[in-house]
Amino acid sequence: MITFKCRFPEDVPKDFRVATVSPVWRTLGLPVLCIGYCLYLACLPVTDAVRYSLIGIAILGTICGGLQLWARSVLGYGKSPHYPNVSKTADVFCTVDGSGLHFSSPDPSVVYLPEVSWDEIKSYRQIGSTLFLTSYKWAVVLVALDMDGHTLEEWRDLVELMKAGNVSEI
Amino acid sequence: MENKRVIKGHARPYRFFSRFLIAGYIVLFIPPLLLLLIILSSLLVGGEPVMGLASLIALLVYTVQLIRGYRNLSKETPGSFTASAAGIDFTGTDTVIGWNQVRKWSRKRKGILVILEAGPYRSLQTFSGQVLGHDDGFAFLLRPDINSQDKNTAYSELIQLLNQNTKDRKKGDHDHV
Repeated sequence: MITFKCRFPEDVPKDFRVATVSPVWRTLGLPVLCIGYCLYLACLPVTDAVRYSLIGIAILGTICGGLQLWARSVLGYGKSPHYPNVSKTADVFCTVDGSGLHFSSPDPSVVYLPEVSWDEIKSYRQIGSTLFLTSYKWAVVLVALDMDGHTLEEWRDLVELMKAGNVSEI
Repeated sequence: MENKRVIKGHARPYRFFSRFLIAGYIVLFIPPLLLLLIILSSLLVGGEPVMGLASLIALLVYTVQLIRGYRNLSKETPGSFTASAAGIDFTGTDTVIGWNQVRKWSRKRKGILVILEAGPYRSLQTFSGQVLGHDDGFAFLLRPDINSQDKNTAYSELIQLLNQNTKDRKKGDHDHV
């Protein structure tokens, strides 16, 4: 059981937030397949009309791929991040154990969500001295833990807990 | 008598039009479109059915998943409401949202938009859903039934209920942080 202080940073690196939406290969896999297949077919002995149609379809596939990339970036950082139990007036602490995250604060009125199970946490990344945990809804909802002043042992224990909870590094 | 007035009608979650919403639809509907394009190009050439068939199967699986997801979501989403002095009762959800849980409301062309403090969902209580619901509220569009009365009466009765029950609160009373 380890207790961390929660942070509520406004600026979270964009590449991290986009990476939580989906990996690039998953976003571009299908468009690349579509374009590649159309170009392959266009190289076969086909009539000119069919060849031009195939090139047209390949162009449409390219547009679709571009739209998906745009959507990925919007879903990644189109909204500012939300943090549970955020408070400007009181400190919020997060205790981590085998069952999940438990929030507490000297001012109990700020804690509206006291517990989050590991099932709800998908991935993590450490940026500087902040450990970010993401939920299933991409990186719109985040938990940011202050790692300052915590020992390597505690970090190892936390990694073990996250492994047991199927939380992967992103 | 005034307090016993009951208004029934349709309710549906309200989504604010934004880039975020468009991006969500793109992520949902571009993959099947790409599969359709692959099927189309396979049909154009004729002699290459393997890729077309594989895409067709993938498209069918995707469509089934999409319909299943939509059904699960609509099962959880209330379709109608009954408003009375006690609050807004979302039919089938066993939850009555009291008037003190109405954060904001406004008249829209297609109904009355209410931003609620709590969502009338039974099991859609995910971590992200709870945090976003707490910060942004739960938006619902209420459309009173206009079968027996004319449109204006039904709307003005609901607005009257909202006015009566939310007027005492100062603006920003329920804004957090």
